[in-house]
Amino acid sequence: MEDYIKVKREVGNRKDEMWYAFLQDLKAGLCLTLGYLFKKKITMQYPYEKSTAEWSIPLRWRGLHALSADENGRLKCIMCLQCMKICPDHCIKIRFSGAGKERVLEEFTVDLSRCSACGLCFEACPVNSITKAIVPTEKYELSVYSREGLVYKKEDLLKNWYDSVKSRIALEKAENMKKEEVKKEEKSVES
Amino acid sequence: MEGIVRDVIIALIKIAIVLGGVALGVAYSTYLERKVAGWIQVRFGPMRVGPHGLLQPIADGLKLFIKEDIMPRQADKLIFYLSPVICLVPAFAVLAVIPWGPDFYITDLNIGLLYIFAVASLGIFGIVMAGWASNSKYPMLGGLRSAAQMVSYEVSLGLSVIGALIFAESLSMVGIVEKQMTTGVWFVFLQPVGFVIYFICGLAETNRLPFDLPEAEQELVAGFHTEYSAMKFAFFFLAEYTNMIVVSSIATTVFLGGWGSPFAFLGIEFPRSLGIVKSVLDFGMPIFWFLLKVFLLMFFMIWVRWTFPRYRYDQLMNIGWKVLLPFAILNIIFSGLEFTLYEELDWYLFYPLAWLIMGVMVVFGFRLIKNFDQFSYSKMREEGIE
Repeated sequence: MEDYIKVKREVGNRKDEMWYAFLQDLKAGLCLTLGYLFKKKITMQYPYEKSTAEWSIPLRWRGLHALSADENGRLKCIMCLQCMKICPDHCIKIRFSGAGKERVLEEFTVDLSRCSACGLCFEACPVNSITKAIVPTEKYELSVYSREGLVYKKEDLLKNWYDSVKSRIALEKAENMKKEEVKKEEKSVES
Repeated sequence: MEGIVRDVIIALIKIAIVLGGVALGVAYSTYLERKVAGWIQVRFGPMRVGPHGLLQPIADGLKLFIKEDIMPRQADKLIFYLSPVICLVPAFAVLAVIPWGPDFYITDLNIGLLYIFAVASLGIFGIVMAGWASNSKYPMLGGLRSAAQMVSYEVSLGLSVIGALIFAESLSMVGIVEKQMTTGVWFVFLQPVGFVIYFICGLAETNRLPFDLPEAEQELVAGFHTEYSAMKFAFFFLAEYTNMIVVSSIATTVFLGGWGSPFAFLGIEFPRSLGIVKSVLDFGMPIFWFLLKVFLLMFFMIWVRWTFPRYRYDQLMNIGWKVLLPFAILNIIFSGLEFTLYEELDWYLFYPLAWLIMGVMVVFGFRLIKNFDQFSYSKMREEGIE
């Protein structure tokens, strides 16, 4: 764009007819495109390279669902059923046994064949321990060969979480927080 | 009798090599076109089929062979089938007289250049007939535009090479190149104005982009070949790119010294001790230089295509009749003067003088054209036509 403005200014300033008679306006245009001919190409060869040095999927990308777990491998889900209730397409199915604090999550299914990717489930989740309990990952290649493949069970969702970059970031954050807590405790003990 | 048989066989082999080579060249010029287009737009161009997309033209060719051949129900069947052939045959027929090397050309007609202009202009019939036979509005418009454009630019194209012919004193393609070899100067240095006019008209004749009104994608879908598909479409495509090669070859022959090496003035010759390698090099190097010059001109045509926007129809006509034709005629007058100077003067006096006169001619011609326009505008205003 800057080049274009430069050429335009040059053409605009030199409006005397001899400039046109010796084809200088055409030369300016040709030089511009020749410059672009040798510029570094910005195309990403998609299926072969999925991210380049300049570009990768942003962290806030709302891709495939995942059920997050804490550093000990326990699911963060508290079975409040908020995501199931808010989902406009009824694609989340939750089943648990027990009552009170002894509740055990038995089934957590996300049916992506119905999901409209509105993202309401991520927003509705009340859990806030570094991440929410149900989180979007950066994975965006969701096509499968059968309809059954689109139904993600609890184990699949947990696997999504461990495959995603977010789990590693969350783990680091959790470790840092632990260290800070230890330091604080030491300080309070000293004082 | 034996002699005749041998001549026929040699001619057939030459024809096969030239046609095969040109067909391959056409295939890979589409590759070049797409690559350069990509690079100018900061893309890669074809990359998937083969390393760096090198097999892409072959894949395209196969696709065109296999595709379904559709014909509109209302079309004029005979002419619809005939027009791609009429478009292609003149393009190939012209290749007969193009001198690829000192010992490698199909034939050397003594009216070579005249033959080229006569035959090449027949290709327009194919385009006009295609536009008519399709019985549909876009092809019709494309065909009509093409007819008008070709008639306008054929005149300047023919006149632009006359300046070079004055110096060559021959119409034979081989003769023109040999003249440039013996005098040691390419005609582009004697006739730059002629070269520029020739090249612009060549772009218009091959329907390339600043002048591709017959097939303007945005207005006419694909112009005259909108209704064509599969092999018939491939014929048009082949004809267009063959024409590009032909126009570049003629420009190389007439203006850029044909097969002559740009380092000829150094006087280097391959030493005799090389034996058979020397004879191979002596045969191959001129062809290499010729093809290199053709390649550079082709590249320039593609470069121009991806740089400039298309002209409006009236602008196209204005350039053809009001700019190129006057300049072509002025150039002929100037060439006569230049030739007498060339005969009389030494080179260190001749070149500065010739180029000075040339500059004055361009300036004068440009003023003249501007006055034309102002004259016609004032006339129009007087008569109340705007």
